[in-house]
Amino acid sequence: MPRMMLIKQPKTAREKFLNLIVYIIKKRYLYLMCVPGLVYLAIFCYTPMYGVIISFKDFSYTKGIFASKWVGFLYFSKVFATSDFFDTFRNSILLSILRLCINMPVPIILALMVNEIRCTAFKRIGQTVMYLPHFISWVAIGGITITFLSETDGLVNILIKRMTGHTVPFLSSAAMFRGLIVGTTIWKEAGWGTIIYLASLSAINPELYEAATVDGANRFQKVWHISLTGIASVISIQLILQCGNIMNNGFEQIYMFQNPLNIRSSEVFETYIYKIGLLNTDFSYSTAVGLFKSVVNIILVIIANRGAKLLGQATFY
Amino acid sequence: MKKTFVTLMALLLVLALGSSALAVYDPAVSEPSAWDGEVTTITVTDRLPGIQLENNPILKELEKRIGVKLDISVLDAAQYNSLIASQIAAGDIPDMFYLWDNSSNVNFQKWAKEGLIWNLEELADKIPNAFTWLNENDLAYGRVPSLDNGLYGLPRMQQLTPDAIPYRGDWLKKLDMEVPVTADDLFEYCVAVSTQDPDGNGVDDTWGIFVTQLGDKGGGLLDKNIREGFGIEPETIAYKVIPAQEGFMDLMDWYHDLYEAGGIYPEFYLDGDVYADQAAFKTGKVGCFIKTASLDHTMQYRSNATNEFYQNNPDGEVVAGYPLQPAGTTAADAENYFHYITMSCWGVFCISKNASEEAVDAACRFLNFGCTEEGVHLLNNGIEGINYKSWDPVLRSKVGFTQEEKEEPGHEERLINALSYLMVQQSWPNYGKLTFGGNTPEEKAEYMKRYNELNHGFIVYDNIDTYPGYADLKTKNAELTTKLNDEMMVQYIVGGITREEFTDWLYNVYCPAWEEVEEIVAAVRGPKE
Amino acid sequence: MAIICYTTVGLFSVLCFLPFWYVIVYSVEPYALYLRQPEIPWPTQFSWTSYHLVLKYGLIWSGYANTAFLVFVGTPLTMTLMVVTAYPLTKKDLKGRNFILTLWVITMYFSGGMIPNYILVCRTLGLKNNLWSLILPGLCGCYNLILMKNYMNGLPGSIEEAALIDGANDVQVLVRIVLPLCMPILATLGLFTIVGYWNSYFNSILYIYKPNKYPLQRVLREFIATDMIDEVNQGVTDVSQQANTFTAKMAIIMIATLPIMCVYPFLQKYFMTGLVLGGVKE
Repeated sequence: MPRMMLIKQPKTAREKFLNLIVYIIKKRYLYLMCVPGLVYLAIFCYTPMYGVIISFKDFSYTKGIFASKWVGFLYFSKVFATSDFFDTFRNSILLSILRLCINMPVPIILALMVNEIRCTAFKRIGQTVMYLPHFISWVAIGGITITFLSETDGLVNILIKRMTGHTVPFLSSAAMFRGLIVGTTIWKEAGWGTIIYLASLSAINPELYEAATVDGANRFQKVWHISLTGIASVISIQLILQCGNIMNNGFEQIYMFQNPLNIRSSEVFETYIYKIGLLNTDFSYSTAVGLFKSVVNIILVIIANRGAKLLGQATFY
Repeated sequence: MKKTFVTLMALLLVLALGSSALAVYDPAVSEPSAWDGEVTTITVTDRLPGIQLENNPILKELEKRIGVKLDISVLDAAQYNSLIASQIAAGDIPDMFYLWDNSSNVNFQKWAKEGLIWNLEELADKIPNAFTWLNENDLAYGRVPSLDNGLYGLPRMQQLTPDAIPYRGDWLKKLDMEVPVTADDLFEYCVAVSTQDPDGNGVDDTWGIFVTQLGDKGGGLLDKNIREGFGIEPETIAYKVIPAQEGFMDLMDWYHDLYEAGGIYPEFYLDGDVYADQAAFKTGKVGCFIKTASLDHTMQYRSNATNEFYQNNPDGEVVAGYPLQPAGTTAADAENYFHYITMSCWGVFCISKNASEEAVDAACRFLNFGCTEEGVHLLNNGIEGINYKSWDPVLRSKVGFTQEEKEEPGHEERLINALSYLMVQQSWPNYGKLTFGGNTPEEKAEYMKRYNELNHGFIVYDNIDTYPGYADLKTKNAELTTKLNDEMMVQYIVGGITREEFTDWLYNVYCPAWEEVEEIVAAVRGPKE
Repeated sequence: MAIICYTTVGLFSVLCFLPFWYVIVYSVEPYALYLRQPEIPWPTQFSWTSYHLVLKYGLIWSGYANTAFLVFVGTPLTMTLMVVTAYPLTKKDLKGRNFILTLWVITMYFSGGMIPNYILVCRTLGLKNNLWSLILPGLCGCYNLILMKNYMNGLPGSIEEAALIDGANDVQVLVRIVLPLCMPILATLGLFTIVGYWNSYFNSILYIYKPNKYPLQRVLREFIATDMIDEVNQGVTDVSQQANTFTAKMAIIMIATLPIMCVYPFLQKYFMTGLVLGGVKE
């Protein structure tokens, strides 16, 4: 009888609160650990966030952010009203999907291959060299790429011409542009990108491989069932992060390779806004664009995260 | 005989210049000013990181002479505008700041309107020199006509740029041609350079002309040197934007045909590097290029700017050609045409309304000092024995240290750069920039002679950017402008789109959007005759 | 299978190395030579003018010092904050965990923009022209935090539980048991962080206005951007421009990249060898 009473009795707010206090005290170390991060977030990330309201205001220098006049969605409609908006939108998305489909798997494949290499010296040197391009700035890479791929005097085109009699307009055709971006990105970042996969590969228990060998698995099966499975969670997370970056294509690289002949496929949000914004440092307008991008990105992340959850993979959060 | 003649001429020249230069400031003779009051610190901005902020002798000298201590913030050059704007938006306004593109910068007008910067005319009694040093044409660069035509920034006048197109003199000789005068001549020259292998290396690796195209990168396709040959006028004379004028399609067809004939450097549109055209010229790949500002027509004199050319082309020669003339004219008519010498304004100095009274006084003192011969000399050249060896008032040129002197121990400390963007003025009134062109005294004298000769006929290029309403129109049409620069012109020239597609867009989309220009010009200059 | 792996990795490495090698070659040969024969992969003639010129540029040295400060002070701070924050987030049953995590994730996508950041850092905190302004605002990125958290999630939980039952508190568990197991990810993220600090320049554009406080990459950037806008001709007439700008650019890229290239192979060794077996066995 008393037992029944206990179960049925609803907890009062006070009790709930007390329970919470007890819980927090019990887990005090864990909560204390959260504090520095939260303080950092509060000061450096959340305090300045009031700035997004500029996109809904007609910014006035004398009045400042808070006192400027509200204009609602004026700047957003301005963004959507630009005639090339949908072309730009399409280019941005297309390029991102390409990045997702090509630039995402390359480091994984490379990492799996490096992992299979038994000769330590070769492995070490190979890795060291693969990380090199990551440290060279886009400005320099742009110059080097033009030196190599130019149609008039580029090394690559000289060789191609010798073999086929034609040159390839790597730099100046809309059709080639996406390939150019994907290629240079692979060159610069794929090697560096292997680090994260190699780190998780190194955490796989070697006994698993031994056991698989005993069971008669061949090398490919081991890669498939042990290595790839072992890093599945990292891949999943990287994928979700990539999805959240669909709208970001990296200004520097694209601007470097953009020219009038490939502009039909090379104009993305970043470059477009830069050019329009160049004539006028317009805080309201640029904040509106930034906000639009953020919202699209975060929606995509949530969708990707849900998808991963449904597939039973590691989720982002 | 010839030598005697040259000597005689040179002598005459030196005499003539010497007499005209008597009035020119000579630091060895003049007494520097001195300040006995309190030293005031003001916050100012600059764009170049190259200046030494600590123990800079020029900054110390400023404290001594005018009692102003400059607290300099160096803003990133590429982000300068948005940084200034952010600082102002955040309420952290420097006492005095430099703005390099005031005429096209909408913010400049906004700040003037919102009362954030001083109308310098209200401070006129504190900067009297500015109004004697600069004439009304110069001052126009700092005015905001769309407001009250007040002087919201003090223009920093830099140099007279004689417009010219540098050609390869040695190639002209080889091809048995004269310096091109009309568009047809230039066409012929370009095709000849591209096809007849003037450098004689047996490889087809030279091209006639290199034009960089993009507007925001210092464009060349519509450069006035070329434009002149097609009768295209400035907006303020034609009452129309350039693409809406009659000659525009002729010019485009000319480029189109020249590209087909192989006369243009084939990858001219890859302009990741603003100086790709100069580099190609200096390295002997092209026969001419269209950019005047940094080479002058005096390129043939070996200055630091041209040494690279001679390093790569020991037997090369550079000759200057003037802007193209209408078809049917000859070199003899040149004096009727080579008339554009652009007095360039490199930005303005603004004084913040937020600055304290002392700071405003000090800023005015600094600007006023910058508009005197003593100030121009100190800010540009620095101090004798530290920044340079001696000063030649005749050539308005400083004599630098020799290589041996530079290598002496202790010299490093003396090699401190003068201030960069804080040079308030860079030229004497009505004359060119100090110390430019030529390495030897003879070359410098010849340079000065040409400069002075050209000087008398210069026309101030009337800048439509300062006309009321134009900035707004430009903002409205920003998309079209970038599209014209970035895509349409080049696409047509290289044959990516047909002439019909191009003209269809040009006359149905682009030009209608700019019709207001006529009203804007008419409001200032009266209706078109 | 092995052959494919060796060939692919080998080829890719060569491909990665080649352009870099060209940068070295271009930086030590005269510009004229580069123009005549850009394809020859070794310098037939040496010219050190550009290195000479670039190293004379006083800002290079202060840039090194400032970047060293960022790396040596910033990295430990970042790593500490990251570990301390990530650990509680691995406890799935901790109340409020999801809320805290969401707070972190949002920062990846939303920020206030330039002006509020400027007001906060330069005016409220007074960090204008202070190197701390390059460390504090970006102290801990959400991306790395998540990587750390997920790595910790993947660790076997049984040891921790055993330790907790033995009476150790969470801090002790973290320091004595979890951290040693995290060495691979610590090394990886440590390298990421070091590279992040090494390559950072954007914040310095916003917060640093005194050239002697520039980090190295900012100096590199200014050097490259400066000649782009013809500023040397613009008044500073005394500077000898005899060293070609292209070659000088190549040289400064080398100077700004070399030190970190000397560092990372050592870190790499650290996380690639013995740590594989780092006590993961149960």
